[in-house]
Amino acid sequence: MSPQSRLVAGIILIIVPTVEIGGASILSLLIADPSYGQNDLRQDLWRAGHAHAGVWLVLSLVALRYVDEASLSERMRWVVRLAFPAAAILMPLAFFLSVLSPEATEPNALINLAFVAGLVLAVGLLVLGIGLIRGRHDPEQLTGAGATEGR
Amino acid sequence: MQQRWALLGFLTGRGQLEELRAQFFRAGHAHAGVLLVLSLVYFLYLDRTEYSTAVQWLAGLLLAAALIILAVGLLQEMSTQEEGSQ
Repeated sequence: MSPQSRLVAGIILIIVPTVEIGGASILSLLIADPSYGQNDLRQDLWRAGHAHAGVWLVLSLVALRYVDEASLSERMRWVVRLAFPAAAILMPLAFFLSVLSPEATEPNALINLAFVAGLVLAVGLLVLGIGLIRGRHDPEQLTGAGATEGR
Repeated sequence: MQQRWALLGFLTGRGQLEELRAQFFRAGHAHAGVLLVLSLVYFLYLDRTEYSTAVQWLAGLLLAAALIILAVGLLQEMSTQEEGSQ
């Protein structure tokens, strides 16, 4: 694993506790706030935000294990390293901020950020996928300790 | 991708989905996403096993097949439920 990927992985791990805080907030709302229990839309969207944050951050960590083995320029590797966590942050932001008011019956315009996040993730996925398929027979791509460790 | 956006459409009121189907859809979407991440981790560890290349390919293909069967089964279930409700 390259030092660059390790840096991004460290940042992602530091971000994960914010997902825990979000989960704790939702849980205490469910327990203590009757108005939250009555707003199905808010429950649905906040649950979706929490779930996407968790799964996509894990996906980002996994992508970092693959990106250094992909046949990509350093610039494209940075696109991959940043696209995954960026999407993982934008997606929950859209879900949480679009129904911030307890009385919200429909999401505000910020929900469209979710589609942007989906697009950003798709870019990261496609670039990494293509890079891995292109480089699969090329031992030159397997550089450094991460390579010998990874094989 | 399509599936995720469809679900978002239903949630935000641009589409209609009855309760049971919505729950089924949500569970299917969540499991598909998590299993996909799990399979990527699986391949990282598969490389570290001491199985022969043939066995590694077999394990990898079995996993891929399971994921595809899961996705097909999910879509099939969705479409039959849709017919039933009409």
